[in-house]
Amino acid sequence: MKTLSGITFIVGIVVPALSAFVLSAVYATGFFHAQETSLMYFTELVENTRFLKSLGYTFLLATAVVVSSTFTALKIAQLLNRRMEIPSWFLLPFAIPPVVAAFFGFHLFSGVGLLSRIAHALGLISTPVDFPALVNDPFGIGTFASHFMLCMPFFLVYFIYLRNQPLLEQLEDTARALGASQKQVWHHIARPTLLHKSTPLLLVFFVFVLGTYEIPLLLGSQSVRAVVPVIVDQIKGYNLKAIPTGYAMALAYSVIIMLVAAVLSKKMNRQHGA
Amino acid sequence: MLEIRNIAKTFGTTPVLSNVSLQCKGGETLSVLGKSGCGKTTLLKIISGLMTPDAGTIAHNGNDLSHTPVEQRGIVYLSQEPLLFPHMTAAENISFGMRMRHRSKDEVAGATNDMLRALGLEDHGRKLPQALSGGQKQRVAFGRALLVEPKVLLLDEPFGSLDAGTREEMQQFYLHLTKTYGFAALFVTHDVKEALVTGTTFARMESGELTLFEDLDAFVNDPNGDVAKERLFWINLK
Repeated sequence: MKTLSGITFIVGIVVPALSAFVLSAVYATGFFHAQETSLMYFTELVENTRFLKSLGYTFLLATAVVVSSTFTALKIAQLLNRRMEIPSWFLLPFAIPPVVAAFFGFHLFSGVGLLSRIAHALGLISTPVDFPALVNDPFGIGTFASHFMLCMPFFLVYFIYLRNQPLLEQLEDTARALGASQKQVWHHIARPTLLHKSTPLLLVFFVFVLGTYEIPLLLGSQSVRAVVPVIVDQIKGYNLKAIPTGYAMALAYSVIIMLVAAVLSKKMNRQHGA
Repeated sequence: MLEIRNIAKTFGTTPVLSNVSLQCKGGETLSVLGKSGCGKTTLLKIISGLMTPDAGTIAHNGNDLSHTPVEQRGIVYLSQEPLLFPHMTAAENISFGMRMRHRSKDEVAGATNDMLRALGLEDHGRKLPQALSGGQKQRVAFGRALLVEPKVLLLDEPFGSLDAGTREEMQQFYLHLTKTYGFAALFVTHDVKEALVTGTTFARMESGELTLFEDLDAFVNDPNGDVAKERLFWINLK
């Protein structure tokens, strides 16, 4: 059984991932478009700051989304009762695919969107132009807000689930018996334990936000763009000469993500005493 | 002195505790022997303030604690699981109570190091709980409880999850602690030998009713008690 699952993992995951990796590397050397192979497309990535800016912007966006979603969900979990059934409507955001969330975000945050119309009805603005730019804006507010709406409810449900576990309740009771006030119990026991237990999930979401395509494509900034839409544009665009650069970007992006995941998981294992 | 009077508790229509009364002086360990489900844990949770009784009072040195919040009772409950805080080192676990009382850093560090030495864990202070053995975890749990100088220690089968050898070692360690720190304790167990080793006074609990014994002889010779049954088993063993 173990051998079968091992073979399935290798055939289903490792082989396709490695093949894609090798194919990206081959494409990025210009093998299919030039007379001779070259590393010029990799050096171009460093020389042309567009990729580095996109990468920095995407990391910043993912960090902002995960950090703000985590702390908002933690605050709500603190305010809610310790023992609480998870209401079924809390699960609604999980049924929304990113492309729907992107359109929803557009209809909510754009100049002709719902928020703008409410502001107009309240007499706060006279034309859609007066509404602050939240879509395709340079700061990525619409992108951030849409990701936040997807992540935060998930984190909240997970924190409530963890908080309902008997072990955490026993730890909180122990802390109280040792003289900690409710506030101290939250700050010293509940919050760190929730963060400690949910670190793997937060990392997975961080990588998920780094790799999203639809939301930054529809709502993102037009000057500095998220890295995945930039890569897809390069590879799928009409300019055939841009394809190797796209693959070089994809390869560099994959290596960076793998390095980040390796460093974070090593740090996490050390924290968990493994 | 801890004084419990006429504590009663019912879950739904099932009575769990019926008019339980007891006394326990400083330096004394009241061993309560009882089978699983007899109401031992409910009694300890009520005394510690983690559960509310339907009737009865809890007092310490004449002060009524019945309505005092858990964190102000000065009664620490130790369960079968050490329940160490997983994100804190052994030293941070031990010093938790002092830190919550905003004691100075020097005072906390000094007391923690002394406690680690007393527990025989001076080389393990920086370890996280998952890097400690079962016996070491229980020692840390004891140290954490003792550093807040509790009025009463409530022990709910604290060595129940340990192997026989470690359990015996921990029983001796417990006796050493009672002599050193002189706290009042209620030690609940279903193990006859453990009750005899750790207790200075004795009680038996059955179906939510507590029977107190005048002395060791009365406890050992109780015709309905487990001690008599255990002795009979060994006598009849061929």
